[in-house]
Amino acid sequence: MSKLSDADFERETLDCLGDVLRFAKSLARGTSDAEDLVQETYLRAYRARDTFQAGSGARQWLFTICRNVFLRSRDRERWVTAVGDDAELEVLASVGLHAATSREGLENVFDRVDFGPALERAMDALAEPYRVAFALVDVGGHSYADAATALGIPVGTVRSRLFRARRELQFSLVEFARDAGLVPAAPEAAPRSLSPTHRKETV
Amino acid sequence: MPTPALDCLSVVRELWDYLDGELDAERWEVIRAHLASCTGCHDHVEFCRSFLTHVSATPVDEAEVSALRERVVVALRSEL
Repeated sequence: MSKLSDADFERETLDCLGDVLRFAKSLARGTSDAEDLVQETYLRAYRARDTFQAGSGARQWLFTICRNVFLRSRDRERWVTAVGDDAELEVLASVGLHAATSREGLENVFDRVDFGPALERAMDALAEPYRVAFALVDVGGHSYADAATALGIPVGTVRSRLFRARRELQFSLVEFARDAGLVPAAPEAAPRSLSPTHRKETV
Repeated sequence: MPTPALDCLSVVRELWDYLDGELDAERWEVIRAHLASCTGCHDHVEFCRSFLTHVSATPVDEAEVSALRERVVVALRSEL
């Protein structure tokens, strides 16, 4: 394997910086922590540049380093501790949320509204086990199995955390759209059971 | 052999697996067949699909990327 020159390293990796920042923001709460995570990712990548093959996909390589730096900074117990999900309640909540958006004519809300910073705030509001499952799969492009391996938890746990993370994000974004007057107000409040804060974390 | 009918809650239970390509081909086809004949589930899956498309397409601020790029380059050059 040929050693990557400094110029090659910069050329191969810096074009991906926006994607790495987006991934880091999804993992870490707060812009400052995310930017520190990106810088540390690039420094570690540079030190390990001999392991990278030019043209082999810098983006995914950087994502892997970013993920590992983030996870090593956290107590592993955060990932393996049961958080008390009830899969059937989540299914019902998902059905209820979709039914409410249909009644209100909001089925296309994600196509019609640019949520931008509202999505970042909604991700920050997720409890860490859910946010990280979402980050790895939906931003980092991990399969359920890869995310499970990285976190040291069963695939079924990734699946249930992802289900809840996505449902809570949907709920938060629909609420944001209503509050901002971007879509018609709900004729009646959604059932409390749909609220992201309805069931407290037991991490 | 005809595939057994699915109830709608079973489909919702697996809708993310369906959208994420995490189902095997046989199960994927069972879900697809249900969606082809059930408007409610079809609309629910499309609602979730548009959510995934939206969150995967959300860009980061270019000015922030540019500033961070400068910071990272300075940090990298200090390693040389």
